[in-house]
Amino acid sequence: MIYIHQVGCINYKEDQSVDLKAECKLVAPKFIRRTDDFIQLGILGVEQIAKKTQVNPKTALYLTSGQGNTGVFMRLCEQQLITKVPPKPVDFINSLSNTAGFYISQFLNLENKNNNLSHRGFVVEMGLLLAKSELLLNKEEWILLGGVDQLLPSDDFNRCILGLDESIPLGQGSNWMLLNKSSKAALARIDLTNKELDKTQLKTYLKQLGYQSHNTQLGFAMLTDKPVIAELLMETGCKQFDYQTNVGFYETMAFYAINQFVLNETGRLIFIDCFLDKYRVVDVNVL
Amino acid sequence: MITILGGDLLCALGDKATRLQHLKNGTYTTHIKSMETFGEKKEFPYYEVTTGTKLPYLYDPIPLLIPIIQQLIDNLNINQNELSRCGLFLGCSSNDLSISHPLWMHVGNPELLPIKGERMGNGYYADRLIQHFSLNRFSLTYNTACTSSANAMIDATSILEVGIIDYALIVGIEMFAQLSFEGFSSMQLLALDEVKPFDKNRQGLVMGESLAALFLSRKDVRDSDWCFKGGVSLNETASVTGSKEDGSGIFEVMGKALLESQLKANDICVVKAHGTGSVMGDLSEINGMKQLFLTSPHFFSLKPYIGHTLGACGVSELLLLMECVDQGFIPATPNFSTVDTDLNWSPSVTRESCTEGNFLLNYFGFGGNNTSLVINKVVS
Repeated sequence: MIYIHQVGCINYKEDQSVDLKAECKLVAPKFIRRTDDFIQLGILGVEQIAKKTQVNPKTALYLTSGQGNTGVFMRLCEQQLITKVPPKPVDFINSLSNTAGFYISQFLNLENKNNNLSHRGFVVEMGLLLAKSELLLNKEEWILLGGVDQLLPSDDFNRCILGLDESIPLGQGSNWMLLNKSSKAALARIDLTNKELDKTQLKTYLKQLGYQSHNTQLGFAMLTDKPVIAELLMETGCKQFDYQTNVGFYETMAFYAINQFVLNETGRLIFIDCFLDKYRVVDVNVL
Repeated sequence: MITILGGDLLCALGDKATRLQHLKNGTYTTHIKSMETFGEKKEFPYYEVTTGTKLPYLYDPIPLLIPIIQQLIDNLNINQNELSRCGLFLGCSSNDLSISHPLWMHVGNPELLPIKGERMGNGYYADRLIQHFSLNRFSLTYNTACTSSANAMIDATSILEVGIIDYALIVGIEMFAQLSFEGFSSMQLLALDEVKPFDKNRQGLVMGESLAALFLSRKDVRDSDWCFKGGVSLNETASVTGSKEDGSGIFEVMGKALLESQLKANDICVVKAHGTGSVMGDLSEINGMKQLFLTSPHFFSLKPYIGHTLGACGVSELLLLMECVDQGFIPATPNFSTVDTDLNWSPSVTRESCTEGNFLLNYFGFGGNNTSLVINKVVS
C-alpha cells in the first residue's frame, strides 16, 4: 500500500483552443525555447504540484505515456519528406521521449531517476505497480508518477493509432501524483495488484475487495462498454464517479480520474480501467 | 538475490560461435550507410544485424526475436507455468515501428491512414511477445535513449524482488532508424571511418543494430553462476546531450551502484565502459572513473565490435561480456592506438584472461540518463 501526497492535473478536450507555449511561458519562462508541446504539457502538469508543495530533489520521476512525443516525430518526418531538410538537433533530441523527463527534472531541480514508460493498454497501472514496488523496497522515498499524452495535429491519424472512430471525443493531458509509502500528511491511499481480469473475474474481485457501497464510488475508463458499467453499478450498489464531463480520451486519463477524485471527493474510489475487454482495478481511499 | 539465467542476441558479429571468434581476435565487420541531404551524399560505417539473409530497409523485429527467445526457453528449460510468471521489460531508444512507420507513411501521404482498427504505439512490440509466449501480463517498455534496456533490467529486478513475477524477460531492440541516423549526423556525432573509444583521434560514434533477449530470475526460484548485484539510474540535468565533462554525474551513478551492490571500487575486476568514441562522452567517463578508482581499472569498450546499439546496448553488451567471461576472457578494445593526454587512461588493447568476478557496466544517454550496473560471476 502506498500514499498519494499531492496531485496535479492539466486536461484539455480537443475542441478547447490552448496555446501550450504561452501557458508554459507564464509558469516556466526558461523552459520554452528548446521544448515542444509534449514537454510543455509535462511541465504544466508537474507545476500544479510544485506550486502546492516543495518537491524533494531526490524524487524519482516516472513519466508514462501512450504514444510518447509523437508530435515532434511527425515534424521530423515532415522535415525529411516534405521540406527535405535535415532534422534540427533540437527536434531530434526532443524526439527521444525521455527528453521530456529531463526538462521536467530540470524545472523541479530533481536529481534522481528519469524513467519513460509505455505499455499497450494499461500504462497507468504498470507505472503504479512499479512505483509501489520501488517504494516498498525502499529503493525510492518519493516518486513523481504521471502521464502525458498530447493531441496530434492530424485528428484522423490520432484516431487511427488509438483505434477510435469519431464518436469518441479526444483530449490531451498531463496528470501527476507524488507518492510515498508513508501515510503521514498524505491525501489518499492507493493500492492495486497485478491482476488483469475478464468481466467474470472482475465481479469476483470486486466482491473480495469488501467495499461499503454508501461511501464507495466506481470509476470507469472512458472506453468501457455501457452495459458493463450498468451491470457493475447494479451489482455493487455503488454510485458512478463522474469525471468525464470535461474529458476527451487519451491513454493516461486514468491519472486524471484518480486525481480528480482525490481533489474533489471523499471516501473510496474503485477505478476500473479497461482495454480490449480486460480490466485492471486501482483502489483509492481519500484520507 | 537476482540471478541472470542467460540470453542471446542478433548483432553485427553473427552467431555465437562467430561472435566469440571476433571477440577473441578483436575483429569486426561494418557496412556502409549512405545518406543524402541537400543533394550531398554522405557515407558512414554502420553495424548491421547479421542473419544470413539480407534484411529489408525497414523490418519487423518480432519475427526475428521469437526464435531467439524460443531457443532460450528451450535451453533454460522454462515451462509454460513459469512463463506465465515471467514479466517482459523492453528497451528501445526510438518509437515502436507500429507507430513510427504509419506516421512516416501518413506524413508522406496524408490521405493514407493505415487503420488497423486497433490501438498501436509504444508497447505494441511487447504485447506481441507476451501473446506469442503467453507471458505474464506485467510489462513495461522503456524509452530512455541509450540507457533504455539497462533501465529495463534495473526495474525488472524490483518487480522480481517484490514477487509480482518470478522470471523477467529483458529485451533490447534497436534497428536502423533513418531519423536517428540523420539526427546524430546533424549533430556531427558520427565517425566517418571507425569508432575509436578513448583514443586521441576518436571522431565519434558508429551506429549499430541489435536484437537481444535475456532472462532474469530470483535465486530462490532459479540459481545461476551469474547474478545481478545492483543497478542505479540517475538523471543529470546539466546538459540534455551528455554528462558533465568533470565526470561528477558518472562518478555518482557508479558509486551508488557499488553501494547498492555492497561492494567497493577495488572489488571490481573489470569495467565495461560505455565508451562510444565521442570526444566529450569518453572524457566524462574517464573523469568519472578517476574519482572512483585510485588507479586505472581494467576497462574496455564493446562499441568497436557491434557499434552503438543505443537502446539495446544495455542487454546486448551485458550478454557479450557474459559470453566472453564464460569462455575465460575479456576482449580487447579494437582501434585504440594513441593515448589522449586529456584522459591519460587507456582501455585494454589485448585480450585478458578472466573467468569470474564483479563487473561494472556503464551506460549513458541523451536526456541526462546515467546508468551503472554491477553483475557477478562465481564459478560453481
